[in-house]
Amino acid sequence: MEQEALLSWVQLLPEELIAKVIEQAAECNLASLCLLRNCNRQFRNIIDRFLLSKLEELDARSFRDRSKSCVYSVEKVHSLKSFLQKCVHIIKLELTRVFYAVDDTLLGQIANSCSQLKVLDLSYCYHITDKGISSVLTLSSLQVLTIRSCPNITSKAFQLCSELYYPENLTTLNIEWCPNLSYPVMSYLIKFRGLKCLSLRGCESVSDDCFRAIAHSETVPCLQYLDIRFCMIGDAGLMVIARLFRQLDKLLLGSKTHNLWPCGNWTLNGASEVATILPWCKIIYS
Amino acid sequence: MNNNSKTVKLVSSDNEIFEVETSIISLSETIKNVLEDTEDTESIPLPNVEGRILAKVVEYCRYHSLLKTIPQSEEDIERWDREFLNVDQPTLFHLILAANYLDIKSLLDLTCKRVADMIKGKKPEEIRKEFNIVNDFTPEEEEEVRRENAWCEDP
Repeated sequence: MEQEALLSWVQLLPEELIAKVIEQAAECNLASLCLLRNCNRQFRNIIDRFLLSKLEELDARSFRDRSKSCVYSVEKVHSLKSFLQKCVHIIKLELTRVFYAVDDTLLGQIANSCSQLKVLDLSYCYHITDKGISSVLTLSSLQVLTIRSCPNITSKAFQLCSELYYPENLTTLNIEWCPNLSYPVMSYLIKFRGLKCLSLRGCESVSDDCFRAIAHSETVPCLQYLDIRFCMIGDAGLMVIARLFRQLDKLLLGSKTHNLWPCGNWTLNGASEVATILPWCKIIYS
Repeated sequence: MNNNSKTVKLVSSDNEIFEVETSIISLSETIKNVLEDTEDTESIPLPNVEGRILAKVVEYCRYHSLLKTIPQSEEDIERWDREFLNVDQPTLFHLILAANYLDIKSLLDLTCKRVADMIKGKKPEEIRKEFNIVNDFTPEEEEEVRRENAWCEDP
């Protein structure tokens, strides 16, 4: 017994039991798991082999709030890359809190190694450009993509992808507060055939012209949810929306008085006309 | 002889014998399977479990089997479990091994959770000290781990 007291318990337990203990100790918190990797080789190997490989959800919000941090570090991108390479079964990836460490190279790597990814949140990842978005749109498993407050994103991000193929499982696309989303965006997005929910909230460049450009399209996605709050949409745009997206059951409109830009150019007459064409559609004003 | 009073002898690695009601020790899937496969078994050798650990396992099974007939409050059960695990580290780890070998899921969960609670909130060096873990990283490996974890540390 005395001799045993000198031994470490890690030398007594089989690896799967150590993994069970570590899993409970970390309580699915990645920061704790990362900390425990520092203990010794055995802990590092077990965490990498047993825990990271079966990890399905990586929510960077579980790390401390770093919203005030704007430091960009190449080293951090490198290390996040190597960390993600171990998370081969990741299904949900939320990178908002590590926005400073996310760039196109990282998105390229996610596209290559996270083949089961279904949900990706890139909110506030201001380094990313069209190239990075084009990469993640090649993920055939992707169902929900959120791009919020990413100033470098333009319509081209969606053009590149749709020229090659369309992400058939992508049902929800939130492109919000991206000020440089330019005119042809809808011409590209209508090629995303599986899309059911689309949010363009706060994209101040999205105007009637974006919708006029697709007015004569023969095939469009069966959109059920459309959020165009704080866009430059007027009655003309609303008419195109009502005529094209016949399965729309929720339309979100932002009124002119509640935003900072020349947005919300629609009138109550225009909204009533939408309600006449799509009586089943719930129009939500905010 | 009814099923409840039927007993079986468990023989530990150091040849201690425990005569236990089968209804109690059937909390162990391993023993339950042996009893089902060989009905007339009178004794079961357990070469992986020491007598003092087996005594604890039997104590655990007895209390938790009793709960089926004499229910107790969650608080009372938690208090009993806490007292039960008020043991030194080697005993705790032998209990984990025994629970695993005997396939007693609730005991395995309980003992692993106890160790997990000892780890929770501690820094790596504190964990190493607590459990006599040797830091066997080379300086290069330590640097690599540090770099890999850098993305979740302060910028």
